[in-house]
Amino acid sequence: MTRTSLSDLYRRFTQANAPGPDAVQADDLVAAAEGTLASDRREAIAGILASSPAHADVVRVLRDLKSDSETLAAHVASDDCETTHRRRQSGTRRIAAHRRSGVQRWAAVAACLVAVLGAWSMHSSRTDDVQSGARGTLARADVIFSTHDKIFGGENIFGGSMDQKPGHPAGKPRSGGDRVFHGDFSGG
Amino acid sequence: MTAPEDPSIPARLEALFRTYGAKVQALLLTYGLDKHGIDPSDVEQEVRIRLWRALERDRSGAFHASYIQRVVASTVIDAMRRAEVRAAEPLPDEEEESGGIGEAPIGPDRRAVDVEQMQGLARCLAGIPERRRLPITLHLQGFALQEIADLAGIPSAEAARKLVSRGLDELKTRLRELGYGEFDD
Repeated sequence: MTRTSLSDLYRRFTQANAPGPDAVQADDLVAAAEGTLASDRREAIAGILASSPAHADVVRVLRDLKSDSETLAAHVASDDCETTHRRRQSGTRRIAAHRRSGVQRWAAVAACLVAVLGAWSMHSSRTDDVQSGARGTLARADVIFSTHDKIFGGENIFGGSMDQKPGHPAGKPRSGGDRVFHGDFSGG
Repeated sequence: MTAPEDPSIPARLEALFRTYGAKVQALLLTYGLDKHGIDPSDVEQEVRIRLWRALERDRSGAFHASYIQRVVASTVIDAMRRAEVRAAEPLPDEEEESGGIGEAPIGPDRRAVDVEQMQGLARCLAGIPERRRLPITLHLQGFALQEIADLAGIPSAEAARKLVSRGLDELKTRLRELGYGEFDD
């Protein structure tokens, strides 16, 4: 004769007389699975678990699920950190890009200023060149006139011929013109 | 029903949630919660959806393991509530004969013996002092010695073992004396 299992009989009995689903709160089930029930609630919760196969099974599920829940929490936390890090990085990039764009804007303004100043200075230097060119032309004209003045001043030519003594030829004859004027005076 | 789409949430998380949901479903089946009228696949989906929503609601918030456990527990309690409502509704005639959800139908003779033995068991348990009764009933409900120690506030698993062993002997003796026959653990 097979003997009845006391456990099977008890579970059938409690199945038929089990308390309702709301007899235990989710927090208490979690605490029961983790063995961290508060001492003032321990007896009441243990009594319900002892008389409810469904709640007892939920506690067993939670007990076996604990390591998976910890793993999931760790993955979510790491993923969250990664996402936050990525967001921070992109935020930093945005700020850096914003700063860069500000710097670039100022650089562009400075470049424009330099270009304007350069153009202005080139223009002004050209104007100076034109003006100085005109002045140079005038100066050169002065030189020509002064050369002309020297030539026609004739101080050396005429002075030299007049200073030359008789019997002492004046070295190298300078020009035919000079000699013409020169010879006529000393020959008699 | 699929998880809400959020491009900011990496696909890796979705895969993790799916794996976790599959584990929840497997454990619900392993411990026979489907026999209590709970649909493990419904619970699995509901758990995933609740976790997604919690994550979307507050991404920077702490997503501890105990919080995840609480989500599972509350989802199962909700499923139990729905199963209770369904059980209260009238069933078709052919299902009325079965002993319970997922159980093979039992005949009237067996049922009569069962009811008699259950009444005897309840009477014998009521006669055992509360301090020893709780470890025995927890043991009969399938809890391990360490779990019994944790739940009943017994200092050690060894102390729980002694309480359970003596209590079971006492229970069996009472049942035998009252004419309910011999019982295994």
